[in-house]
Amino acid sequence: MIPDMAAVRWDHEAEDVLESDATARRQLDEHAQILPIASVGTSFSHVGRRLLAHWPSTLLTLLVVIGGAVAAAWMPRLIGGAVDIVQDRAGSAAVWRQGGLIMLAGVLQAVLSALGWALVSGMGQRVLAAMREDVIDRALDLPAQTMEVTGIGDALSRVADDVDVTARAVDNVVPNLIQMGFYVVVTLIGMATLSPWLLILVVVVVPMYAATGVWYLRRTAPIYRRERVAMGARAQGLLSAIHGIPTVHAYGIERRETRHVAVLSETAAVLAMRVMGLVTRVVKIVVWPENLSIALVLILGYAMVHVGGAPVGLVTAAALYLISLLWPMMNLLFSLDDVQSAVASLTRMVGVIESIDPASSPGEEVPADASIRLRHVSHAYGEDADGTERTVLHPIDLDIAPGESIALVGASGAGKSTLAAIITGTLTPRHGTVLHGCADLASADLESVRHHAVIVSQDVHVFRGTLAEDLQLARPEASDEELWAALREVEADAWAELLPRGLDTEVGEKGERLTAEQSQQLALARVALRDPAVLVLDEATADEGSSGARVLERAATQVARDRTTVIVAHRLSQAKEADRILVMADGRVVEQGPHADLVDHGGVYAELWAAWSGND
Amino acid sequence: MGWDSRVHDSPSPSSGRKAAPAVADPAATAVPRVSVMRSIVRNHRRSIPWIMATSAFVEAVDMLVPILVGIIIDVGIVRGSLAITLLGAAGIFVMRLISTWVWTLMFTASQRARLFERHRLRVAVTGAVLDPRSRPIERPAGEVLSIATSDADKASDIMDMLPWAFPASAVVVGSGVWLAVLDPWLGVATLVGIAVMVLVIRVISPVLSARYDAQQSRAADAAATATDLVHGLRVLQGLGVQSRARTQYRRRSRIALDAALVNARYSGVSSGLTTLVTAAMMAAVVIIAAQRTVAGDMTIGTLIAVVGVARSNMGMLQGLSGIPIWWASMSTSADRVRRLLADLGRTVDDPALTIGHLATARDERGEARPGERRAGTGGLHLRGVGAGSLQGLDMEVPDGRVIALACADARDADAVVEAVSGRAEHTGVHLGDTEVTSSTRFATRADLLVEPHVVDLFDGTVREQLATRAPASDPTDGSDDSWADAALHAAGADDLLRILPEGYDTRILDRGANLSGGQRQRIALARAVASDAPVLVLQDPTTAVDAVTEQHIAEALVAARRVPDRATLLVTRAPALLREADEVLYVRGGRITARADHQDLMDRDDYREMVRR
Repeated sequence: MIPDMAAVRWDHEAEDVLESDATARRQLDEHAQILPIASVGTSFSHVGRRLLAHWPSTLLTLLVVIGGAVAAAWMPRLIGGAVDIVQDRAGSAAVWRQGGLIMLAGVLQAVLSALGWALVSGMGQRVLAAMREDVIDRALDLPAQTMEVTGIGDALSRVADDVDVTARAVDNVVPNLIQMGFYVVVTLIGMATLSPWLLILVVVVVPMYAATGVWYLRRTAPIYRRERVAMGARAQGLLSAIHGIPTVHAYGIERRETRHVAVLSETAAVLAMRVMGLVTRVVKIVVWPENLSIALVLILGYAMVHVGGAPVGLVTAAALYLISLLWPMMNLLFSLDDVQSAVASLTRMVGVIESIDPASSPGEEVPADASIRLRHVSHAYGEDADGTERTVLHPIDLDIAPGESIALVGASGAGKSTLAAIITGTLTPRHGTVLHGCADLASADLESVRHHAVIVSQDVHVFRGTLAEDLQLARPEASDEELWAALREVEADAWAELLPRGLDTEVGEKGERLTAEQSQQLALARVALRDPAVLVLDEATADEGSSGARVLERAATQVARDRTTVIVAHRLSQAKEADRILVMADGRVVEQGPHADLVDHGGVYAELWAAWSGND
Repeated sequence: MGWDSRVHDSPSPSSGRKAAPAVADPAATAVPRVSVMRSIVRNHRRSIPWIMATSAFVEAVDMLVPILVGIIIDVGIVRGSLAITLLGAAGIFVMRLISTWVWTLMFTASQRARLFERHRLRVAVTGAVLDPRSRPIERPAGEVLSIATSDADKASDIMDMLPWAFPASAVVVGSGVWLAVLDPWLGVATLVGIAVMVLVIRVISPVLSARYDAQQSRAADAAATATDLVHGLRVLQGLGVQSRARTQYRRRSRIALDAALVNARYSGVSSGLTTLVTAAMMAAVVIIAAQRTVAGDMTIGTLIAVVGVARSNMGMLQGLSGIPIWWASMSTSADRVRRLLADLGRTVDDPALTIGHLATARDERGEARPGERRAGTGGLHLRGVGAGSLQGLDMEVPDGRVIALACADARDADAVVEAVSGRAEHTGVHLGDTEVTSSTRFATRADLLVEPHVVDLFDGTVREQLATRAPASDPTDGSDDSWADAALHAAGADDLLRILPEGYDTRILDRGANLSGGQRQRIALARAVASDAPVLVLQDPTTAVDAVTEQHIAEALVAARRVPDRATLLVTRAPALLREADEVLYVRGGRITARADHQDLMDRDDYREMVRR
């Protein structure tokens, strides 16, 4: 064995492998599945319902597959017939006729299996496509808080990995499995109809297979679960190390990060090898019923011929049946693995689809104007161990006139972002009501509210696709002229014109890399296109580094013009321009008023301003 | 094996066994073309022969079963001998038990090899991507991930295929020879059967694998869109354009579906054609063998054996028919792994990328002992730095001082940080007596930390974040967290301990996903302070925090770094930081135009204008 291969701790428990890496250990222990997982039963009935919805093609598929299995099972019987013809010394013509029948069975089987494969796989792909669209559908409405707690890892693995695992199964395993499964059933029936003696065989052997299958699945399921968690952590580790390469190199932790991925990879390998160990055990077990059935067919065959007076052709057919079954049965047993992991993915997909309600409009109310009104609004995230809420925002009443601009000022953790999200409607407060233009968000029309109020948060993201596609997210029907106008509004037209293919330039993950500043300009251009009545800017211009702060600030001012605006201000220069400033501390508004008033007032804000403007 | 010599003839940059110097600069030399698949096979060249031999034995036994069954039916059942029937049944029983036992040995060995190869390729790719000596990576992280996972897995399937494909083919040929010996026409039928099967496969599989690739790339596109939308979820929700995003995904999903449906049809046709060939072959064999038996040249037992063998034969051929597609996807994947490594300037056989090496080698930062407290270096000296927009910048950051660099043009700031990072061959930046360049920068890392402005945090507790490069004398078991307290204080992040549910033991997710932007930035700053680097360079460390917090940070950070043998450079325009620094260097037009303290510089109109954001 090569030395490196011996270095892999094949015979150790996963815990031993993880020994040296506390982070990896934690990742495998604490892996929180925050998003719901459906039960296997629920998942199957979910898929069943989808199949029922297409019942004509489901029925057709079923008929074709069964037809194919029957044609396949006809074959051994025809060959048995050939043996009888030979034994009876029938003529050459009978032999040719039998050969013709075998050919006919083959043609039938070929046509039906081709059709069956295409139908089963096609059905599966259709159902899967509908399901993955539903998963995304729900994921898009996942509350931002859920994501903050879990990170987006779980959601990502649902929309990408689980879909992929299921798709692979649908491509290959499922058509194979279904055809094999029907073949096995039809063949068993065929054997039983040959002679009641052979029924003994079916009764003895089938339960042995079933018991082995159950034994195997019970043991592999937990191993697979852990393996998947290890694989997830491994992927995450690699991704974050690649994203963080500048930091990795600056700190000189490239080996540490490589080892982290390696330990998780080794864990996954060791776990996979454990499954292989179980596979060999299963084969060692299954060989007994297999051998038993071969022996039984011979001994029963002897009894049938010499006690029951059956023709030898029948025994031949039985033996051929049996031998032709060994491979499909084994195949079925081993595709159980793929089936099992596909089912696990299925439960995770169905979990998202069934447990998260599709976003629906809570009511019909439509905002009448750009005013905002908060009534006794307060918010808390979760609860402490003793059951008290962890309040982040104490009860607040707030009236904002149409077109007014508000700045929120305060230290980190003061509740600015929470208030901003509540005002936009992306966060539903624990208590109190939020009214936009007299429409209560709790009973307003969803799409009109989404169009009415927009928040630009610190997270910048450039979407995959062309620059035009990215912008058109905000307004699908926008013409090129409108797109350029929006870019001009945020002063992004200069660099956009320099892009190799203008609006058709590929941007995002696999396209042209935009700087943080350009990405933020893009975010503001989307707002301009979306044209909301209410605009909330949460740290939108804060993290731009040292460059171009003023460009962004100008762009933000430009986009905010003629809208009701709420700015979470990091720089007091932003606050200074606002009609009204709300100074927040510990989840409360401690001061409010226009800049000049607050400075004169000599309170918290005045102090801040003095320190910030350097006039101390 | 032919490939061995070919690979060894090529000039390998990694022929030396001694790790670092021999592979010091793979980026500079041309990368030889080292096939990943060959590397895998070479790794297991000792075990492959016996794995294949045992596999051939197992396959042969499988083929023997129908022959024995035929003989037993003939001699035992037809001629009425119960003893032979029983004996024969027992014989098959024992023979199959032995072959199963042999199979488990073979299977365990080949699977272990396959899983090992997956693991090895994955670790090699990871090691190569993260290794600072590799060429910089220019592919999206998602692509690297898919190469390190799914392609590494697929390429390693060669260890799954080899033990089966060749022995199975040999058994197919062997049984064909047996049939030909029995009757030339049976031989002809078998040969024609095989030929047609191969023809069918040769015609279908190229079309099929093209289809499959097309389907996979459409599916990958849909998956990438899904991932992208989830990554941008906050932005989508903020804009309220969920329904638009939904439509966009649906369109890609439908395109993927259409490709999958076409692929399903082709797969169906291919499975149908192979079934058809099998059936035609069976019909021919039955007719020929039955005629011979009727003529009295063959016993009933042989007839049954012939039919059984022909059937298993076609079954095996059908299995073997999947091999070209399997091989295609395998070699495509192997090539993707090779190309990625080549882009990085590495090869799969690089001794610095082996599991053994990566598991034991420690990160080289230029320290004699890892985790030692480093003595002062005499500070950072920039002499005539002309990188980017700079016009021959001269400056000193001596030990014991906190120097602020205020650049009127942001490009100058970026250029200074870039130069100090030492990515070029000649930078003009000196750490003590050593110039910081692309060839020395990994050895100077122990003494010079340039904290990247874009914050990246890795999964771990708060304590582990801070300990990323802290001296070994700082205990990480929680027995004494005073060093961490000090670092957090210097980063104005004392409040985090109160906010985070488990204090220092709170787990921070990758990329700080469970923190706000301001919290992330402060944790990263605390991490930099805790490293106690003799020279620390920070670029705009307070952009994500509010004015109140910024003031706290400025005071505490400067106080923490104002140590006799420590030098600190702050590249910033934040007035709070500028005011606290020992000295402010004002850069305009690519050179230093003034050096004084902040209050004095505030008398200059242009400086005041720059600082007053």
